[in-house]
Amino acid sequence: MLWLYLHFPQLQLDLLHRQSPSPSGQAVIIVEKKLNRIVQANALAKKQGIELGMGLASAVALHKQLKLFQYRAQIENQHLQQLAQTLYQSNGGIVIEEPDGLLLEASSMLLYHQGLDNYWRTVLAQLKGLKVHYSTAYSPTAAKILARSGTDQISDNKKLIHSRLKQLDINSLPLPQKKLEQLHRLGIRTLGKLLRLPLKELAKRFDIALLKLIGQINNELKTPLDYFQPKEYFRRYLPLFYEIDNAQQLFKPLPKLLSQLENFLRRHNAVAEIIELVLQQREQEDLQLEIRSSQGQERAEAWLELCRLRFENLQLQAPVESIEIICRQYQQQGRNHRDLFSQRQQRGEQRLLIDHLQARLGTDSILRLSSNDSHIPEQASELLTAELTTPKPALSPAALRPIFLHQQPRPLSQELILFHGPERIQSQWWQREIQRDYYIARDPQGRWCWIFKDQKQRWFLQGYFS
Amino acid sequence: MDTTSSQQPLGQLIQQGLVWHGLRQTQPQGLLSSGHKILDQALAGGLPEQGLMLIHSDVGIGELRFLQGYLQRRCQQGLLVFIDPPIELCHEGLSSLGLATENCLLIKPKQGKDSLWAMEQCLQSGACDLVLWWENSQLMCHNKNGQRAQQAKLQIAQAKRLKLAAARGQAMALIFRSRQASQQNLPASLSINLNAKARGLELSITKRSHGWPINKLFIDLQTQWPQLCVPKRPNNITPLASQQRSLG
Repeated sequence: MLWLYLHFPQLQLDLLHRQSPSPSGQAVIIVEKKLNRIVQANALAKKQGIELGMGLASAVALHKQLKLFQYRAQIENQHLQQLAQTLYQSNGGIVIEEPDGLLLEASSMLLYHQGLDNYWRTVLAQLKGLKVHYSTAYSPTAAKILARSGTDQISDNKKLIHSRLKQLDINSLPLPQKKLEQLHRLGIRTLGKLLRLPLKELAKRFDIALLKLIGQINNELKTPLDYFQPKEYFRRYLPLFYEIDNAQQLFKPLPKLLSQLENFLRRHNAVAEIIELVLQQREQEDLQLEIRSSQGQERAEAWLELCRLRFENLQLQAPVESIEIICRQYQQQGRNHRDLFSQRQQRGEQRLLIDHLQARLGTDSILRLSSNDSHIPEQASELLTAELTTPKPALSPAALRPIFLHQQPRPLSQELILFHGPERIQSQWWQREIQRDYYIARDPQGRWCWIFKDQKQRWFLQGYFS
Repeated sequence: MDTTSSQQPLGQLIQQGLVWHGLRQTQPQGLLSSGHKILDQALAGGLPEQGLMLIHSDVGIGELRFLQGYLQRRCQQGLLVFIDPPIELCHEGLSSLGLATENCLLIKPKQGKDSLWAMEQCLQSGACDLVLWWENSQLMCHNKNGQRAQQAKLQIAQAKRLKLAAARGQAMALIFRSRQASQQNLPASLSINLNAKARGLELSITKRSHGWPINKLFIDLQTQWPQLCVPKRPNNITPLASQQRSLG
């Protein structure tokens, strides 16, 4: 079986460059905090003489204006997941080799892609903007070792691959330093020399780990592989090159993330109803926003518009360091068809309108009226948030009811003339005891009021017949 | 040939009713019967189907009931939006007006400035038939809620925007204002003043897009709303002095 290994030597750095295309004139380095070692540096930094593996102090001594980032394996791991997700389109077997490698099973894909060259072109197209070392080999371990030593060779020629393997420096083997030194002392400088030695002799001098490695390189022993399974939900994490403290600017990096969401949804032929935005704030708790679209939406533009409305009255407590978009729930598209008949289409527009209003004013500001089974006037109507559920239509009232109704009746303060009534409304025995006699009355200004007298003979104003 | 083509835009403007002739009263397009014969006659057909209508009135004198026929005819499939009503709406009351309450949407923005934004959105969306907004709803119902003291007040530019939005979405904006509200010259299609009368309403039209103002028209609500009218006294009964005073 032919394997392709992709090694990303500076994934975190590439990600930073990718989202802000030209931090020009800025030397950027990424430092591993624990070891105090530079693990990634951009071209400009390298030009200043900064080398990987250097300490931070010597790097600063070489060049003062360095932009410094802390190495985070989490960022790289997350991006590997994303890469695997995109590569899954053209690849069956993918193994994630954390924190910076991907192993692809190539041989079963060759027929589909009509040849190794085409296959490699497809893979490469999905790795835009990332620095990558790659190699093919007939065992996973061999491909890994070749790629990590910077071979950059795509071939299915067994002899060629084997000759490459033979030329490999012994130092590029994933072995502890002590053992490498031991091999050196024996005069074994290349992998070819090591492979030529009889296994029996090696077993006498070295432990089982080296034998296992040799077996895996020769494909005589199996390498345990944990194949990638595509995630059932969408999650993208975007670290920001600069911290953002203005909600309006926050809007700028969003289109990229949302278009990825659109791709994800398109692939699943689905629409999302809720997306979560997590804004990581400096030294503050994460800000979590929920953005809804009652209709279900997959288009990035529509989500962008909803996000814009949501951001309009957003107050940031601290600068934002990163943005994450999560979409857990999505539904199959085609659940509600749009058709030519006018009413249906209008329903769609209505939902769109409600989404817009909800995004800016908040869900609790947009209400629908629904009826409730109660005779008590203030309990007879109920306000629901405007979700998809259709509210219950009103029962045809037995008697005239006002259009405006005070939820809490007001004590009556002025003189009125009664015209119709009384209409007695009484609660059931299991409820709070209410017994009211309602009258229709007119006040001196000519307003038609709905008033009542309770058990204690007090008068209240309940509503107006507008 | 040249003259006809240069005249064409003017002809179009006249046809669309955008040029007003003082002498020749053409019947403008897009009118809906108000449900009151006398008003329809005075307005040469009825109330406009889309645009901006201002109603200066107190709450509770019948300002919605007199529009019953119009509201029913206007609301077909789209939403009926209430923004900032002065008092909570009663479900049964609305359905007794003959309105489909499942198409009603109630918007209560937390900030006054959002009311106009919401209204514009609703009007231009094409999803709403009618949008009702109460300007200064706090004042109208004597609400002591102080935190929203900064109520939106309609300016000329805003009214213009609403009118354009209504034209875009083919919707009607109804704005209820207190009678004390300044009668500044807002670009409304129709501006109505309402006064309470014992058996109906006294209606004056202070501004009209296709005609002269109309003064003091009596709208009889007795047949539609017999319970909400002061009954006629038989001739042989003389009311008490106090009652006579308050009945005006």
